[in-house]
Amino acid sequence: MKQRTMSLVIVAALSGCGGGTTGRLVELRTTLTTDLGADHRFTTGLGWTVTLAEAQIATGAMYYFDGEPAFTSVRPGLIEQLIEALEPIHVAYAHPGHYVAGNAKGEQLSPFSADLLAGPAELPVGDGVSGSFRSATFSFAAPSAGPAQDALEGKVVRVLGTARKDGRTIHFLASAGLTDLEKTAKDAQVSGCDFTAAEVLHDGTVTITVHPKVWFSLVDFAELPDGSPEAPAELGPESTARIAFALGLTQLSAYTFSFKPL
Amino acid sequence: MKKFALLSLSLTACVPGVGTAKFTTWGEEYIEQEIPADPTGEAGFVDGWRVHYDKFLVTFHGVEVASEDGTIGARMSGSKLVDNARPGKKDLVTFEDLEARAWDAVSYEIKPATATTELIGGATEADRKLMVDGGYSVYFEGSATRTTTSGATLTKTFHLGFPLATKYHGCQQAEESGHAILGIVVTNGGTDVSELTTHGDHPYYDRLKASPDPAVKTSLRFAEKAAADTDGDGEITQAELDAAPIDVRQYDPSGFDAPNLGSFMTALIRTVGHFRGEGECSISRGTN
Repeated sequence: MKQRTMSLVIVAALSGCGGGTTGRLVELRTTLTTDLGADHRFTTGLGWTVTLAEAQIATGAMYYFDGEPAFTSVRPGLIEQLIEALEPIHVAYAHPGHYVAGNAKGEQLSPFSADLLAGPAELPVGDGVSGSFRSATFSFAAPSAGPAQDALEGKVVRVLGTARKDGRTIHFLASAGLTDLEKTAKDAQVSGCDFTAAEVLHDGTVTITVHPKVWFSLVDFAELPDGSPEAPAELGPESTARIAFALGLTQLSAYTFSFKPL
Repeated sequence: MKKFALLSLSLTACVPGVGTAKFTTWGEEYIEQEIPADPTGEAGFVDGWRVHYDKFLVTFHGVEVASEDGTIGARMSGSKLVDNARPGKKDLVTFEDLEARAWDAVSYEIKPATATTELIGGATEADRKLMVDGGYSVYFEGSATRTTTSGATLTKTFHLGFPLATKYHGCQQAEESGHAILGIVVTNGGTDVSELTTHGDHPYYDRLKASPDPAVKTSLRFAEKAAADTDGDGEITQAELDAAPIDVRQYDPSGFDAPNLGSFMTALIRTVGHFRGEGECSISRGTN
C-alpha cells in the first residue's frame, strides 16, 4: 500500500510537468555499499574495536525526497497532535524528530538482500522525476530476494564478527528482525536520512552507503560471553545489547545517499 | 465627481487598517516553581525525583512576523536575555502599526547571547557575562531532590549551559487555544499577544521522538542523570553527562545521534522553545 501510494505521487508529479527540466522521468540505478575499509574494522564510541566477517542485510523500498533531512524538532506529527489535543497540558510527549519529507522525487521499491562485505551490490533499478534530491527513507524488509536471503534466516540484518576491548576478544553474532526494529521505527523505515543535495536532471545512480559503525554505537559487548569462531555469542532477543543494536540499525546517520549522473 | 467618489470607495475598501503584535515569554509553572514527581508519568518525573530551577536563561533573537508570500511585517533587531525562573510573563517586543491581516510565518531564534544582548525579565549583567563567556543560548541551574524509602533526601545540583543556535519557524497555535492557526492574526486596532513559551521539562524526556507504539509513553526521568554524578560531589556536570552512556532500556534516541546523556539532553534543549503555550514550531539549525 505504501509503495502504491508513493508511486501515485510520482505519477501525479509527472502528469503536471511541461517541457522543463523538473518533472522529467529519470531512471535511477541503485548501488548498496559500505564505508568500511578493507579490514572491515572500526572502533565504537564505547571503545570496542569491531571487525566484521559477515554483514548481510535485507532492504525494502527506498524513497527520495526534496525536503531537508530530519532534524530534532518540536512539532509532533498529525496523529500525535490529535492525541495531544485529547490530553491535559503538561503530559510529557517527545516532540522531536519532525521530518518534512517534502515532495517524493524517486523510489526503488523492490526488496533485496546482500552481504555488505562482498562489495557494492546492484539493487533493482528505480525511477523518479528530475529535480532536487535532499533526503531519503531507508527501509528494511523480510528477506525475499537477493543473494543473502538464505543466510539471513528470516532476519533483516545478520552480522558476524569480533569485538575487542581491554584484552577481551568476543566472537559475536548480532541479528535483528523486523519486530526488533519496529519497536523504535515505524514500519522499519528510517526516515529523514541525508541525501547529499543533488539536482537530478538525467538518469543516474543512487548510491546508498551503510555505516556499520553506527549500528554498534550503543552496543556494549561486555555483557556477552567470549564465544568462539565456531560458536559466537549471540545477542539474545531481550538482551540489552540486542536492544542497543536495534536502535543503531534505525539510526539516521547509518545510511547516507548520493547521486551520480550516468 | 462620480469617478472620484468611486475611487474613494475603492480606497476605503482596500485599507485593512493596522494593529499591534506583542510578544512575551514565560517558563510556566515547571520553570517558575518545580517539576514534581509523578509515578503515573502524567505530570512529572516517573522515578520520584523533582526538579527546581534557580535560573533558566534564554536568549531570544530575530522575533519575526511575516507571511509565507515573503512579506516581512516586523522583525526584532538585536537580542534579549531573560531569566524565565523569575515569576511572571516578560515582555519581549511589541510591533505597532502592523498591517491588520493574517501573518502566517512567525519565527524566532534562540541562539548565543552577545555583549549587546539586552537584559529583560530579571536577567542580570552577571547572567549576560556568563552566557557570552560560555557561548550559551540556554543555561539553567537548580537542584533535583528525591526522598528515599527511609525518608532521607537525596539532592543533586546542576549548572548547565548549551551553545546551540536554533531557529523556530512556521509557529502554529495549539489546538487547545481555539484553533490551530498558523502564525497570528492582527486585527484593525487590536493587540495580538503571543507568548514564546519555554518548556522546562523537555530536557528530561526519555525519547527523542514519540514511540511508534502509542502504548509506549514518553516519560520524564532524572535517576540516570543523578547517577551520572560519578565523583559523588553532588553536582552533575556536563562532562559527567557526556561520559554516561544512555541506558537503552530507558532511553530511545529515535534515530538521532545521542549515545550519552549529555548529547541526549542537548538534543532535547532544541525543543524547549514553544509558541503560545503548547503551540509548536518547526526548527532548524540557526547560525551563531
